Amino acid sequence: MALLGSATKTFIPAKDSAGSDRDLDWAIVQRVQAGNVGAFDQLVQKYREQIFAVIYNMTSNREDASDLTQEAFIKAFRAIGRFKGKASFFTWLYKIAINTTVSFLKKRNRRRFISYENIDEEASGAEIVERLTAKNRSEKGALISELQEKLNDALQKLSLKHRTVVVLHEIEGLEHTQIAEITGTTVGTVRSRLHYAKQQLQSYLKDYIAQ
Amino acid sequence: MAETTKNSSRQPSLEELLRFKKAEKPTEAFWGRFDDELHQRMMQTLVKKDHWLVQIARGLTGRIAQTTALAGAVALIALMVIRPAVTDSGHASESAVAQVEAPADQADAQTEVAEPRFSNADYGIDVVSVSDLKSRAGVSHEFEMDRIQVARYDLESYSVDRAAAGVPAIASAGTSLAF
Repeated sequence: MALLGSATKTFIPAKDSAGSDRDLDWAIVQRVQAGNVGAFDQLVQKYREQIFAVIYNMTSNREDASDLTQEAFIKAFRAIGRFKGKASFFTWLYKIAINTTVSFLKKRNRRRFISYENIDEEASGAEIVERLTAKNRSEKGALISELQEKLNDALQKLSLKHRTVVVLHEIEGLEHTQIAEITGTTVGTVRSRLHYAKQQLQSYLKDYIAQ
Repeated sequence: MAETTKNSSRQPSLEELLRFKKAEKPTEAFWGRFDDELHQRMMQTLVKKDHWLVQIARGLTGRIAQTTALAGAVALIALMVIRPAVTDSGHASESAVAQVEAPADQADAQTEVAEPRFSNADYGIDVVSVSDLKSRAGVSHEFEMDRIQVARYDLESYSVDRAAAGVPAIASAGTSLAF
């Protein structure tokens, strides 16, 4: 049985390896800065899935997410000469991705197009799905689709700043300090926003979760 | 076993439910297209011109500034060179006219002194001043003699040339000889 934890294949810097990973990224960045444009592809391959996931969960639209992910990488590529390595490349790239997405969503305003990503059934929260299937006595496939729709809908109901912290912490697993750095706020603000956002989500998703 | 049964019977928490979102993943085919598109866009970025505002901003600090500086330097040099020349010629004209209009009783002296000045002066002024001098002082002969004397030097050398060529030399070519 595939559990949620084992389903995660994308790279997220662990606390103990963050330093060495940061050094590795910095070495690649320096190669790009020295004119080795091809080295940037290593950074794309390393972070594209994470960046896409963040943007997708912010927009709930796979086409927009794909386009914005590319835009974020292009912006990073164009600005890489100014990256001095004070923050980690990971944080810097996330900041670009979040800013690009927030800017896009503000322009898009109230027009909302939903285009969901495929569910990897092998990797999906099979345990959770089974639990919900047993409880609701519904068909698994239908329940997965329903759950996907409800989750995306609930996230879209949140304000941008609350959605951002929920996506980064609860879905992507980033720490409060990292989120504070990416969003340019304090850890206290991140915690406060997270608390409020979770309250909102609990009320939107009360039919599916334990109270 | 009892633990598993207990877990499977309970409702998931919000955190567990949100992690379900991780299951929404693109396929490998999607990443293939993504990479192709990104590479294309990056190539365009490398060769694409900047926005016109950026170009202007760059121009102001680059070529336009250089061109402006060069043009400014040329204009400054031109002002420094041309303006004194204009001022000098103005002064020269004034002085020539002033000297030409000198008293008529000093005509002999004036013709010798005025002639080189005429070369610097305007041709129009030259003609007027010469006729002026003639009419005022009646020095046409003196003046013509000077001209003939110059011609005589030429005539001597001409005579030598002709003598060398076997033509009878005009040894004592007078000033009245027609040439």
